[in-house]
Amino acid sequence: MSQTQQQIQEQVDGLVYKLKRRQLAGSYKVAIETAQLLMRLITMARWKNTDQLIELIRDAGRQLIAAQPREFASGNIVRRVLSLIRDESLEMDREKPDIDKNTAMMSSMFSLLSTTDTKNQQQHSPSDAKQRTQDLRSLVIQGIRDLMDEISAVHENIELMSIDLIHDNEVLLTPTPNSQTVLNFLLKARQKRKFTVLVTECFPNHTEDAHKFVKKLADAKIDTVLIPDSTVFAVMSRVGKVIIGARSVFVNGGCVSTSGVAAVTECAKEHRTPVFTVAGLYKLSPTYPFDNDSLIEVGNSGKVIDYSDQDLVGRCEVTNPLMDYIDPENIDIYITNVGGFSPNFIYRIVLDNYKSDDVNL
Amino acid sequence: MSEGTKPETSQLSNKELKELKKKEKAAKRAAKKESIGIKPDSSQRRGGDKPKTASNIKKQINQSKTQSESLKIPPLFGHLETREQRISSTPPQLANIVHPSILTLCLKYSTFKIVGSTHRCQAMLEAFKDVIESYKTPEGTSLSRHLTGHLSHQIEYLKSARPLSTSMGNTIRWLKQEISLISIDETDEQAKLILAEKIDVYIKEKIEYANIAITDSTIQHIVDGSTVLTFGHSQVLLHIFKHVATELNRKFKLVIVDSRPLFEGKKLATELSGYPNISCQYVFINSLSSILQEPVDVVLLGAHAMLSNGRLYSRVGTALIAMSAHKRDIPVLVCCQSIKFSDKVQLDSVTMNELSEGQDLLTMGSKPTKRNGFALDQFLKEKRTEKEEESKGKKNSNNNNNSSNSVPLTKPEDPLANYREIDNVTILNIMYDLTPPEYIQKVITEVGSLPPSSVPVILREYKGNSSNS
Amino acid sequence: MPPKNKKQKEIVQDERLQAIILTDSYQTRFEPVSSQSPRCLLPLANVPLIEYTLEFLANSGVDEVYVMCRSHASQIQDYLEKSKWSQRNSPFKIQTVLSLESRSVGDAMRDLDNRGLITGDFVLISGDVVTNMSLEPVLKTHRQRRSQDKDHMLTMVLMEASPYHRSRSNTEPATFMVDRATGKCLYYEQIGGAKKAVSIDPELLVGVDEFEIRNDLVDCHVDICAPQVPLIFQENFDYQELRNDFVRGILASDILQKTVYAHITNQYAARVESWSTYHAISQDIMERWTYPVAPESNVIDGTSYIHMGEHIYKENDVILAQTSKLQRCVVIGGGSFVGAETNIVCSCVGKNVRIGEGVQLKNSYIWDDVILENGVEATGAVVASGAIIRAGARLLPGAIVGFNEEVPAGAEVAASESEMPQLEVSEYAAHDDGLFDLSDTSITSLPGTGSRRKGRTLSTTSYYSEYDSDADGLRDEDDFDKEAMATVTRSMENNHDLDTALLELNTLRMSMNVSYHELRLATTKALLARIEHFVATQTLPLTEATNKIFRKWGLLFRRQVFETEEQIDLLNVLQEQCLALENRSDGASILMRALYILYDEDIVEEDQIYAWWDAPESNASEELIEVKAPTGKWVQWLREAEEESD
Repeated sequence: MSQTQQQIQEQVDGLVYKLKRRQLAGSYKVAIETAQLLMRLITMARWKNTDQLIELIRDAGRQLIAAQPREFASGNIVRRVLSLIRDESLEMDREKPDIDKNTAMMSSMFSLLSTTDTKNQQQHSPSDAKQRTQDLRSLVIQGIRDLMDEISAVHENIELMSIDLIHDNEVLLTPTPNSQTVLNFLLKARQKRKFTVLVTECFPNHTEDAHKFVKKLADAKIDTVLIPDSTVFAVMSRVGKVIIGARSVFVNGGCVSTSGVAAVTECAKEHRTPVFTVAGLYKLSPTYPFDNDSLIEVGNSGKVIDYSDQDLVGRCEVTNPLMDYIDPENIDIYITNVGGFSPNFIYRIVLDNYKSDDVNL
Repeated sequence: MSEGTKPETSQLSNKELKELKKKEKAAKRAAKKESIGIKPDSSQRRGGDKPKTASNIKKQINQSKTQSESLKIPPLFGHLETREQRISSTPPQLANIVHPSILTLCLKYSTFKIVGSTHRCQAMLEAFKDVIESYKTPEGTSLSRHLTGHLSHQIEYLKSARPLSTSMGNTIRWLKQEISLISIDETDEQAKLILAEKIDVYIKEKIEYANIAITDSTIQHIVDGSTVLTFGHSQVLLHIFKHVATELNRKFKLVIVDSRPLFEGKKLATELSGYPNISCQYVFINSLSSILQEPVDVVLLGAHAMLSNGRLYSRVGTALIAMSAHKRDIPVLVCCQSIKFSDKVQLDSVTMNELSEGQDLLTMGSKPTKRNGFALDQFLKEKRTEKEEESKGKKNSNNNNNSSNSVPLTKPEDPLANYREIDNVTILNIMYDLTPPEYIQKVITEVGSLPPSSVPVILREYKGNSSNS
Repeated sequence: MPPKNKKQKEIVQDERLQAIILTDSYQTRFEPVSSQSPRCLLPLANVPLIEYTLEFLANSGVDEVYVMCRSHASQIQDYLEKSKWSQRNSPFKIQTVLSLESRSVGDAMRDLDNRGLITGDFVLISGDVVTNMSLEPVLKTHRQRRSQDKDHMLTMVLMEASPYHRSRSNTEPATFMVDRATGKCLYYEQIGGAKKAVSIDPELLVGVDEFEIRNDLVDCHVDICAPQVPLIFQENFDYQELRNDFVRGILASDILQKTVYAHITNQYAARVESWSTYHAISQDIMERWTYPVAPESNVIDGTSYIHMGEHIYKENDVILAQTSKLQRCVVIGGGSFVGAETNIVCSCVGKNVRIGEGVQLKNSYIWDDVILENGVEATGAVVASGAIIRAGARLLPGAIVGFNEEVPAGAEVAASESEMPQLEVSEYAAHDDGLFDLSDTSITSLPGTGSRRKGRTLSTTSYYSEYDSDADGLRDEDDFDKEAMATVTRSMENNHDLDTALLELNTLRMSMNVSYHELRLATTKALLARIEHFVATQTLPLTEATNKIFRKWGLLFRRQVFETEEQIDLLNVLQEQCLALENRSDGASILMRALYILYDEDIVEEDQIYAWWDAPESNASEELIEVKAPTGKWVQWLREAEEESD
């Protein structure tokens, strides 16, 4: 077993180092890679019962989260897979004839309330057990494949709603030009509607992305205006809707997005302008955003003050937070690939896709 | 230079065709000029005058060039003047009678070397002193009548660099009144002396002493150990911070929020980071929410103008700061000299504003815009196109001549580098925005502290008085 | 292997990217700490220096890494074997190369050539580089240039900073002249503190459209080299330094026609080569100039740093007393304990450090397993692992406490210039810029060890003596002083010819580039010393000694004094030096006699004597007046004599 354990550890380490070195950045890539890693782990690992498998995945998940604590996508995927495993395992148990109905019902109630330790250990004969693990393995791997498909298809589902939400001759504002989801959303809407988009330039972290974003929109024949971040309040009175992309969505309905977006949403609230957030389901995290520090990544101070500026370097404190936390009160609708929801309903979606046991890995 | 298509009728004779074309071209040109804002008679004057100086020729070239370029501002702000329009709307023969100090001043304004309402006003007064100094009353008229007209020409030229600020407008009104009050009996020299003195007194009273008075009222808000947040650069705020740090010896933390493209906050940071009592923190406006997580005691803002309906007209981004602070129950104080009070009313930032170059937003670094004068820009462009054509010719002839055909350093191309040629893309770069009075707790001026809604009271009380003194 | 490497393979004919890490800089700036531990394993923000380099190489898609070791090679080998870089999932293959005989970079390169390890373009890097830049674009342009220009040898990576920047080396500041359009480096020179101008051969500018001379670059010693580089070192056996010899040699040589390019990046790249850069780069890492290289990336397995507001990084098992304050820019390692009322600002604290109560730490670096007892104050100090600082001790800026040392209670440790015996001495280490908190000399003087005499031990590593010539002016003068005095004394003892002595002095003066004033000063000192010597050994009484010395050797002044001001200067110097003698009355009488002789020999004229007498400088203090007193009579006589003769 130790040899496989070593192999497993190596696989996990590979992804962990990539995360630590930030060679892998962006929720989409991280999610896909995590899913692939978990698939490999499940193929390689040997386990006797479900609990061992769950423990294995949890361990890997802990390491991945510790590698980049502010990248929630990896944790989300791990939790989705865990929930998948538990579901499949339960399904299989239900199908087995030698379990009486009472235990079946009790185990489903139990699974809501109990922790893994007190879970009922099913007794099976060795050959059955082997068969069971085989089945479980293939089911889970299939499930992960479905999950990966879902992640790749996120944009298509979100785009479908775009036409219903935007009307002609509208002025939209988007303060997150680094979001691929928002870009696809707007491009799809353009097919049926004509509108103007104001794009903030997100200086200093995403200005290049903003320029590329503007170019792409312009190529699709959308009237685009590039505005500096400070101009947001000035133009807000003429903006019809604000569309933002999120990096991560939390169970209370708040989200984490690019820095500067919090001020924009507050501004929108003041002017009673609706705010949409577009995010794929894989960005939804069952954790609660208690502590601001643990959510916000602080980036390179060299982007705020040039390192060659000798008057200021070392004499002024400089900080460059990369993200902002946005209150649920400032958001009107979340648009995900499973539909649109208001922020107070997000907890329900979380319950559908994750198990409460897995929230603390 | 016109973009019109020529009619394809081959029935008219050549002569008539030519005449028709000429008429159409003239009509199109006139229409375009009207749309840009130039009166048709001045354009005729321009065409008729023989170009006397090189600058005139250049200006004519420039005008024709700017007409052919599209304007590239978002339709929402289409009613505001762009830099090109400002420049092309000044008749060129003014160049002859404009004083060199005013020319220098214009250049400094347009290249953002002198930035900030008070700073501009002060510089303008100094330049006016020079103008008055070298002014000679022509025959048949008196100083008090003619000087005003002379100054108006200079002011017209100043407007081509940047629109007048409110403080400059008030000052000019005051100056013109002072000039008209000079009695006819005074000799030129005496009158000039009087005026120079009056200007000095004005600067002292309305700017320097005003700063001191405002400082006295504001220092109660900066206590030892407090955290103060400010945006951009303001002369009076700089004075206040220096005073608190040195004279009163209080230690406080100053958070300087800055924005693009002018990076005025850097100036403030450079000046103040040397003081041991001030611990400076420098951030950009996008990290505003994160900064406001730490406890901030008071927000101090500078002003470009206070409008009659209580709104604050200041550098773009101020409204965002005021709103965020208001939401978190942090008091917002505005320090503003009384020369910045205006009797205009305005409801949002769109109807009246100043447009700046969209090009400034294309530079990626965090250094403030380095802008050349307009004429210099055109000159450089010409030279560059010349050089490119030369090198193209050369390239064809000697292709493999260089043994050390070194690879030039490549820098990634900005997709919007030629945004003027890309359809559907515009860049918005406005300079000011309007802050509603709900977000401001107190406006501190040298005549006292007041809530923003009481601005018209000050205007009525003091403007009436100062015009008489 | 990361997929992007495969792409490079296709383009460049199966070349694996190699990297050479030089872990030894062949300098001794990090004494005494580097005597027990290799330099590249010293912790910077609690992470060994070499990890930063290795992480950078991992990010750059390198395939093979060779670590050249000399000092403490076994420690480096052990460390690398245990680290994650030797595991199977390491992004590259790592190998230590023991190059124990090499004494300089040149030797290491020749060793490399002998072993034949290089197969293609390689990255040459030193083991202490901290950077967050991406090497990909540099590699690409390097390869492009190589494919077009077979003589392209070296691409240097330089970071833009500013001339007085804290991360800029103040030990090897250098000027680069770069062709703007192509990035080709045209000229390189190391400038010492005193040098303000460089002279450039106009032939270098042939064919260049625009060039830049830059004095604001930080040389981070990351180079991409062509495979011929070790060969060139082999051919030129006297090449020791990479920059000073190799680059200069290539640029200066017309025959070779090799080219060097400079890649100027505005991302962060710096090298820890002295204590002051150690301090500067630690601060930069904590203030997040080097993002994404940051303590909370936890590159070392098992560490758990998290980043909190105000740039505080701490692991999850740190115990902080309630009244302790971590103000800003602090790194604290696991297992550490911070006592009450302690303030820590801008410092790094390692693992398992016990800090007592009331401790004040500022700009200091405390490594693992250290105990700081109550009331310790440390500013700008470095405390190496295992040390114990007893209560109330004060560590002043520049202090360095070595491994497992103990500082007694209440002691004060300051930066000093005394050196340890039997270690190689760097003359250069005596340089202190004064601009930064930590000075370069920082060699500890532990109370009780006493200071040893400064000796120059003959060691084979004294190549850096070439720095002497470009050292800053202060040192020149000291050296010159001694040399000149020695020369004069020698001449006097051996009864040299006057002309010979003069020639020697002049040559010395010109070679050290000092002014005549120094020369006069030194000569005066030497003469007076000789007189004293005579008096002390009772060879001659004072008067006769003065006469003898000044009659003969005072003529030296003839070639040292040209203008009237210089005469006055000479008199001032003489007066001061006579004042400086131990026996004041001796000094006074010497002054009188000397003056008479100088006047007699026409070295100084009456007017100048009067000017000097009346000038405020010579009457500036009571002692000066005192020493002048006996001479007064003679001056009086002189004046009267003149009046009579008029």
